[in-house]
Amino acid sequence: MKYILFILISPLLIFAHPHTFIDLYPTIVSKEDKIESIKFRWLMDEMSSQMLIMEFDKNLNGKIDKDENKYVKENYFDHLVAYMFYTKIKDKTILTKPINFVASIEKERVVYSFTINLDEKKSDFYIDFYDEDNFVAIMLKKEFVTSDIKYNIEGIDNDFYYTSRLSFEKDK
Amino acid sequence: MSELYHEFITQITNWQYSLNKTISSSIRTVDDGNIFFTYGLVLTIAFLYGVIHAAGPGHGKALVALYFTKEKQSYKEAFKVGYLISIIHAISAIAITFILYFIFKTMFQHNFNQYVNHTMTISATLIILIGVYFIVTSFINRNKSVNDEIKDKKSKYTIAFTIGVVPCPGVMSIVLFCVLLKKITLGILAAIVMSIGMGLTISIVGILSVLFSKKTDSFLKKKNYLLELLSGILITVLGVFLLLGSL
Repeated sequence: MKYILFILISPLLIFAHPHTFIDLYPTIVSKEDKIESIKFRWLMDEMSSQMLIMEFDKNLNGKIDKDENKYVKENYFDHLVAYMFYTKIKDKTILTKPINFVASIEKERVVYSFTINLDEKKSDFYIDFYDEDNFVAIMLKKEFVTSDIKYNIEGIDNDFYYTSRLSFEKDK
Repeated sequence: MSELYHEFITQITNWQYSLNKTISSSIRTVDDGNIFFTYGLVLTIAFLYGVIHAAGPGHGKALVALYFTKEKQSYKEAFKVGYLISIIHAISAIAITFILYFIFKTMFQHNFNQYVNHTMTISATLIILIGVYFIVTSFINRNKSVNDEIKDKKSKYTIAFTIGVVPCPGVMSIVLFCVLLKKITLGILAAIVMSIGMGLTISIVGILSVLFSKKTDSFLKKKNYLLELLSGILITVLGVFLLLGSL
């Protein structure tokens, strides 16, 4: 059955493969057994950044100004709601609602920074990072995470797309 | 999905991630050292990037596999089609990058996405037509055996054009990156070499499909039209899914 499913679904992916790589840096803000929020930093790959900077930095001053930030948010970032910002919290049972969005340029690379407020117990809490279209690969490594509570990074078998999971220790 | 396929996707993505980083930093520093060495290094990485990039899902490998399973072609033909696709892929990517860059400079990303979407719609429509054509010919040829060597050269070129016309955003990114750093020649060379790498992977898929097709010859004998019919149906379904995805 798996193979029949594979044959039927594989056409969807005929042109799909990652072209943009985002280094994901999450900072976990926690208090006792609760995760209050997570601050995210997306660091785009150098090639995609060049393409984006050409459009974002309209006055060519090497940084994203306030009006340019508004443009990036409205024309690029907000549209990612359709993909839940590549951030699926507990199998999409919690809506991904980013706040405090700021776009910037650091060493020729575009950075998106934002926060997601949570107020969730750390036990059994996890977030999967992936793009169903497989056009963007979210790269999450152990050393990218800042957290006072113990966490784990693992690759998840999510059928056809690259998925990383950030999870926290279960209560004993 | 199987553990093996998951491992494959993870490995392919990680390799591409590393190569993407390496090629962009190499392109930036190309003027710093011996020009022949640095150009050679960038082009070698571009070739490897092309081979691995095309090994993941995409680049019409499913269509190539179905086509060569249906058609009784030679290994040489499979190799030729793989490279024909890569040539069209390279021309399409280079041409579109330059057109978009010089006409819509500040709106490159926006127009880039739109163009890729339009070409995908055209490509999906062509794939549906090819699938329907294969279904019809399988009925017409249903009383002929595999030894009759029913070959259709036109469909081979249609397949190559259909897949190749959708420019690879990966190739376009490298070309644009080089253009922005005022290394236009390197950008064009990198696009060509990366496409050669992709052509190798696509050719291997075609060759493996020919091998599979030859192995099934003795089994299917006069029922060969069933394989053609199945390929036609799968190609049509593939085109419909793609069309829906691009609209």
